[in-house]
Amino acid sequence: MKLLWNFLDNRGKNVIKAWGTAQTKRDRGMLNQRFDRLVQVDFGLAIGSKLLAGPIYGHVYKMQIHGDVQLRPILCKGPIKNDDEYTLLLGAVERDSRLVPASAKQDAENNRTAVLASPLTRRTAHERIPK
Amino acid sequence: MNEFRNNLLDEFKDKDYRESYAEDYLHSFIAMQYRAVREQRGMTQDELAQAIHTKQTAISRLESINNRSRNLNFLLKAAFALGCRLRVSLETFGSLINDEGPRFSREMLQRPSFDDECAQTHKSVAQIADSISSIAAWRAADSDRLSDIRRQMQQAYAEFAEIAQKSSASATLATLQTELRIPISISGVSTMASPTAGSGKVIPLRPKGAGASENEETHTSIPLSRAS
Repeated sequence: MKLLWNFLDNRGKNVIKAWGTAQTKRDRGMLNQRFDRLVQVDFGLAIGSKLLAGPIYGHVYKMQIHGDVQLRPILCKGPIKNDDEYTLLLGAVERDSRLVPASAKQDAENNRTAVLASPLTRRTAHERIPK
Repeated sequence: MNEFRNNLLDEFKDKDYRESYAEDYLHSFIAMQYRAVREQRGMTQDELAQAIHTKQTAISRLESINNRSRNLNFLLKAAFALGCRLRVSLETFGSLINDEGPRFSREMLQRPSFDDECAQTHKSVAQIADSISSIAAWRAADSDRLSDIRRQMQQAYAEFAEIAQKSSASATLATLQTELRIPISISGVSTMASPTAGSGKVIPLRPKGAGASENEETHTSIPLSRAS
């Protein structure tokens, strides 16, 4: 069982939780389902079954969830213990095969760098998306 | 794990939410199980595709959790090609909270092929047969040990009976020992001291009324010297 973390912005805001909470109820169910499975399977099976896709940029991967909108949570392995944990870095959606926000990949990579620099203050244990 | 269950239990109270979660879980389960079992068999997507006369891309779609359009007949063919049967079953939402959900893992998804099952069954039968043989051997050995004990008891009883016959001589010797404070032994039976315990000469004595022959080893002896 792997650990799952949520990125905190420089104000301490859990950006993944905020992004997830803004989605529809059906999409929130799918998001939680994917996060639950992500921590239970090995990385190879996650990639092989397309639970994860990437890396799409630098060290970051995306989840592809075909919900009411095309949900694209962006995350990385580690970054402290690469084999034992994931950190959810950013919430994005995909429209016309493009991520929104357009800078999502670079932002996610920057967020990863921030976590690497200050893991104690820039991430927190994953909180489920409220139903 | 209890926190996981409690969270799901609370979340599942909402019908739309639990149906969305369960639908996505179904596709995650199917995709990951076909992939996990194919990898367990050491097969490539191409090899599985050839086995069911389809294209590798069809297997790739089968193993994608984002594929929402699945053909039951195709799932069945792929299952048979992997040496498994396919089961479609209605389940409670609670089983996802208490059983499948918490246990989900690659190991939970894997299944042995029918050939492996047969081999495993043969192996199990062989192991049971070995166990039975071991028990039988142990019981035989135990029986031997019991025979030994019985033989030793019979021998001890015979010696005891022999001593009993010499009881009058023994009583005399015991009196001597008490009064003279010298070690006395009766050969073959440990009483007060062993025959070698004395440091002086040993004079064999014939027990009173025993009528033993000259060659008989059983005798009573008294070392002349006092015990130190």
